[in-house]
Amino acid sequence: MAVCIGFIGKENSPLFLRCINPSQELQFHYIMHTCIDFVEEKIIQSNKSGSDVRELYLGLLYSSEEVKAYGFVTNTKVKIVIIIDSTNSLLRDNEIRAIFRKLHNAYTELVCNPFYTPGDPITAK
Amino acid sequence: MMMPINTVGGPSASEVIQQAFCPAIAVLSSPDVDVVCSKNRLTFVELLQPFSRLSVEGQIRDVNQALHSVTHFRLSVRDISWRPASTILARRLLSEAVTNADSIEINPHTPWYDSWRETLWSCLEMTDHDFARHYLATLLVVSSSHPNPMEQFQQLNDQLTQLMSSNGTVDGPRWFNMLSLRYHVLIHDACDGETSKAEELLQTMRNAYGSHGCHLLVINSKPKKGSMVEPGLPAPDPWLRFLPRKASKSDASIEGETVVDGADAGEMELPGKVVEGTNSQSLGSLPKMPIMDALQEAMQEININSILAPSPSTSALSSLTRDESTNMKNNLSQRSAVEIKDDPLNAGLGMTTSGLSVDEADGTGLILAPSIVESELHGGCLTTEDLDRIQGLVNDFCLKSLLPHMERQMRLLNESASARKSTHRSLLSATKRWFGSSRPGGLQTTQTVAVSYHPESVQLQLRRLGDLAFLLGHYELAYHSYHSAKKDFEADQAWLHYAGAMEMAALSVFLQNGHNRTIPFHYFDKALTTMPYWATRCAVLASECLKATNQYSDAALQLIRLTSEDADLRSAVLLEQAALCFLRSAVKPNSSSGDAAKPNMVPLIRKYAFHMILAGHRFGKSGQKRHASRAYQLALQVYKGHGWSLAEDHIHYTVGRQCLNRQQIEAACHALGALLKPDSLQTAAQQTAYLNEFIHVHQLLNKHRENEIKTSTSLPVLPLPVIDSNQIRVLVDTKDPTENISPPVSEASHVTFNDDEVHHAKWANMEEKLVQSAFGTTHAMFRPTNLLFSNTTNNTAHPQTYCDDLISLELPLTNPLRIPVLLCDIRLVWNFSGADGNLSNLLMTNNNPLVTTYILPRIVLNPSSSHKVVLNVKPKAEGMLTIEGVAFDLRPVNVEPSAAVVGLVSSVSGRVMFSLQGPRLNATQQERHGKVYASDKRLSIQVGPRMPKLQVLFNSLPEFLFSGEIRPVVVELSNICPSVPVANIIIASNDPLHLAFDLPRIESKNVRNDQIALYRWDPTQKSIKMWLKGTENVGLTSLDLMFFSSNPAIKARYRLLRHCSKIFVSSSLSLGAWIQRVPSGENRTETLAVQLQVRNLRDADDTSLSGIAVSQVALLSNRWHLRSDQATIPDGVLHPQESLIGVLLAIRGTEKREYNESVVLKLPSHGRAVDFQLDPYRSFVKEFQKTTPDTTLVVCWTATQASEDGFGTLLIEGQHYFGWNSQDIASSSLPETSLKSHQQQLVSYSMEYSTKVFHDFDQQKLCVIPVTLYLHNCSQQQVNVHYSANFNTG
Repeated sequence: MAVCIGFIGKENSPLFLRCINPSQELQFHYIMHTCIDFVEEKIIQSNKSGSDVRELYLGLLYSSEEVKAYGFVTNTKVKIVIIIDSTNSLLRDNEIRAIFRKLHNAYTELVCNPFYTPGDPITAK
Repeated sequence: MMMPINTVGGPSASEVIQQAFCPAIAVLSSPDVDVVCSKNRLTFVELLQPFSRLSVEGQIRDVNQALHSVTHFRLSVRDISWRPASTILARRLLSEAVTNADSIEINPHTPWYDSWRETLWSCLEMTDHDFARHYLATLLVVSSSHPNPMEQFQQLNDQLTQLMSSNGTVDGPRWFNMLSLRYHVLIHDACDGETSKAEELLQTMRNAYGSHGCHLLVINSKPKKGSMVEPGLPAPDPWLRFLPRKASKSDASIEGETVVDGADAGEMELPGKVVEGTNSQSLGSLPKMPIMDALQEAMQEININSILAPSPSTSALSSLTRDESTNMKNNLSQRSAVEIKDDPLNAGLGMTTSGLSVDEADGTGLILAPSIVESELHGGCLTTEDLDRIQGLVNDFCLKSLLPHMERQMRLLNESASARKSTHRSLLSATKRWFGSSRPGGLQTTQTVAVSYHPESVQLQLRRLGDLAFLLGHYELAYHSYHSAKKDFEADQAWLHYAGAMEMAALSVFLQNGHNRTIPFHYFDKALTTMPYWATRCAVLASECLKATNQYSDAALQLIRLTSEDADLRSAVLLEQAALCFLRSAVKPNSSSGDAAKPNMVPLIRKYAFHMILAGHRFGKSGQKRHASRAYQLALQVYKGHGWSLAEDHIHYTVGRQCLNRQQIEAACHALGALLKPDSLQTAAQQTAYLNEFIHVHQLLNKHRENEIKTSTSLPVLPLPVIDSNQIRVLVDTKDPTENISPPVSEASHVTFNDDEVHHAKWANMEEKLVQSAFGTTHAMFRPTNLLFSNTTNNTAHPQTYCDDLISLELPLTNPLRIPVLLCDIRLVWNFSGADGNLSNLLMTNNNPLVTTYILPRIVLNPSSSHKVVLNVKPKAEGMLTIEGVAFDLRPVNVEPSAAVVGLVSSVSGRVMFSLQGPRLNATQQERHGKVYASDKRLSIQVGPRMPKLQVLFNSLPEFLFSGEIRPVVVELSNICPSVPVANIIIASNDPLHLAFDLPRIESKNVRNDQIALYRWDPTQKSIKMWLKGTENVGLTSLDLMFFSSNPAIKARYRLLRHCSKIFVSSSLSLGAWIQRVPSGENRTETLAVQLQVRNLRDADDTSLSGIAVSQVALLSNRWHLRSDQATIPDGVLHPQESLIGVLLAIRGTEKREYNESVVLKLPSHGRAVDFQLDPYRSFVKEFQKTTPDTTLVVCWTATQASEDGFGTLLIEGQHYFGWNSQDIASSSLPETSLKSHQQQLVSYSMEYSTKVFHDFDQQKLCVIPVTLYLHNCSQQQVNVHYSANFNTG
């Protein structure tokens, strides 16, 4: 189970951030924010490779003794970051991909909602 | 030699490294030397420090006899008794070094880092594995004033020999080797003793110690005259850069540490102490005298304060400055005197002046530490020639003694090393290699056996060689030496030596030529992991090298690796540098250093910010609050404005707390205020804490300000509540709140904020008509008066109002927090500019003669909600009243009751200012291109002269009427502004059909707006009658009245009073009539039969109206009149849903009269007949006949209504009208079928045929039946009739 999930908008402002333990929220905000650096770096690298069809899944962004962060970028530059506990060995790459796919679908459905303006913080439950 | 150029300023990497390693020279002096030097308030070491750099280029021959030039040669001169600082002291020194760096504002060069680094170098101990820092030579100094200098020299020599013999023991000074160079200096005071004697002595010395080992230094050429300073003093004091260090050192020495000044080659500078123009060098000094050391910290504190927040105390201090400066004037050199005299004049000099100031609160009484006094203190007896001589001594010493000595040493070492290299070492290392066990990387922990070498062992000789070469700048030789030494050390598993050699080897490569060879950075890594104790230096150096080659992220990694739990300051400084490295990681590589840097790197600004936060945290823990706030604020720049509100809040809160701790309350207020912003994600509890903290800080601030300046300052601008200025609505000429009006009487409603129809065209029409009637003509571009200004109205002109008129503002106050907030004493803040100049209530109490401010006692703003609050002001003089904002006391709501009892209810007074911007203009080309906004003047209200003000009272104005009901209302008018006469009162109503006044009506010539009726009021009348008639249509109707009044003294100004009320009309009767011509009889007059149907439309179960009785039926016409003898109308009361049908006969009158009124029926119970010549009936009928001019049938009715209290009854009367034109005489109407019947009656027909026909179909198949169709045209027009037959057989 991921400890924190975040959606970060095109302009790098957080759209949605939820973590399991609310007392750690500040910490995850910082981590999430720092992850944008890695995401941007990866985007530039993948742009350089020149392929049109971009792989949305960015893989492992960052890993420390406590957490691992995985990144995903939609075609509209919305970043999805999942932070999992480093001790968690159940989640492999494939599972992470599956979570990202589900999150991406959820986000797509949200954008389809006529009452949602893209770029606004997500408040829906 | 090409050095990688550091693109960001500050010392370059190679300079940093060279600073870290420069030849160390010990000084051993006799006590009398210090006596001589103390005339200048300097020790001998200090005297030399500014000149320790070799000013000319030296040359040596290296081991291969090749000429090698030595540049940037610099000495590190130390007293022989110098010891590295102890751990505790070192920590303190490092901390001071960081604190002392004053230019703390955003500075990419981070001078505090440089100074921290310098201090770090000087705090390192000498060890046996690193010879670069061992003394290469010793200066023996004796004064010529000594009774027997030669003997003294001898003594010193002996002392030195003794010291050197204990070389290598734990604490003592260490020499490079036993053959240390000795250089004898005879110091001679030119004013005190004969020069010839000194010369003789020198000669003797030369004989004794060789000509290259002796020098005569003549100083103090200038006699010391009290404290006077000769103008010939070289202007910038060269010692200044070194002496702050001395101050802190001697401060430390109070603690019993034998620390004497003179660390590394005098690079201890206080960067940017005060960096301002020419003043900087003389003003930036610090006290040198030990007694002033205690002041130093306080001084810096003041310094900081004044830099961060321009201190108001500057002016207070400047007077003290003046006193001091007068005392000093005679001591000053001319140039300095000018400067210091300037200071008190420029009292607002901010940094400069306060740079001179000492905390007065300390009570030390000492106010000044001006630099000029200092410059008098140092080198006061030295002339320029003396300084040249000192430099000459250094040059002489370096060129003639030190360099040849080093050259010699180098050659010797090289020979001995190469001699053994071939045989012994290779064999040894080979065996080691074969039989040795493992790699060094994994060993450093297990291998704790310290390998100790003999000082003269071959490995150490190699290392020495390398160090010597390194010091001389001969990096290639150095590298080779280090490299081979490294191999030896590795083989011997002497890890400390090994690591040191590796570190130096890597540095040598780097300095050799950074971009031609790959720098073995892995050496650094290994060195780092191998020798934890020296790791800091190693990491710092490594990161400098990496930075110089643009490998910023690696440099950052090196630095981060060194951060640890125990050393907060080190971690903080290193984290900050790491953060800067992340920021610079996008810097494009220089063309001169083309390796390694990756192109296309983005700056890792978020990592930068994160590490800044970490650094700020560590700074905070290590007590460097200033740096902590700075780091947090730098990081905030990245986080701000992107929605990372939790992180932002954290930073703001931390900064706020730190500012509070440092008594920078204003900054704390600012930071904490930022926490109370909208869209905060914090929980309610957290927000409560923030709010309380904020209020607490504000209270402190107020107290602080009160202490500082006695006058009450303006209220602070608070972040709560949020006011959307654009939504503010301004209502001028507001109705005064009236008392003494009890329910049956009501007042004219006038304009309110809740009025939906304020800007309805009907009001404009009425106003136009009124103005036209009052002033004769109207302007072609008539603009109706606007009283309510909002964001939808045109606000390019100032709202107009008059003295003594109330002005109301409706403010939408929004509370964005999740906790309720209490606002007390809410009042408007205004600025009034009238004939007597400007006036504002920001500083004043509430009531003043010109403007009355009304105060709203309290309002609770619920969480995340918006309240509309109406606030009033009343100007009492002519002028311009500008509403600027709103002031209030802010409180948290859920104060615990106990706190309220104790009186700890915290509140903060503050204000929120309005800012208005008109709509964006888009009319012209220019406006479309740029962003041009219209001006919005709705808050700047023009107050005109006093005008009469009408008060209109209605007595029992109904809210419910029955359809057709006529209700009288008494209207009272009075001028509530009695000092001004009123004239020209005109009333306008736009519905004369249902409203009548007991007033003469003004007939309008204008055909337009004919719906509007005007009535002129006779001012002598106190009250008049007004009649209301229920409309025919059931439902809500509005009663609109406009009262016009003007001041006879003032032309073209008028005041309008509106009344608008809603009346609900419910159903009563319906009246229908069917009119037909009937045979006229013998006298051949046209006769009409009027069949009339009156129906009670009330619901059957309705009890409010007990029953309607028709009291009178009349026909008002100038053609027809009723034949009262032939009317049949049943008597009785109509109950709900009952109908009454009656028939009347009317004959055409012969003569034309204005009204022919025929009363037909009068019910006996109600006595009075309605006289249609009287108002209001005449008026109503007249208005009705405007639409149907010919004939009007009037049905008058009465009913009793249960009164509202349910006991009594109320007699009401009403009238219904039915009108027709004589032309459509055949028409009749019952309302529901009127159209249909009308059409049917156009043509009437009849058929004539026999109903029984006998026919024998056997004779004839066809039967013909004649049918005669009579068509009658009822109308007077020609009618085309189509006939179609439709048979229905069967």
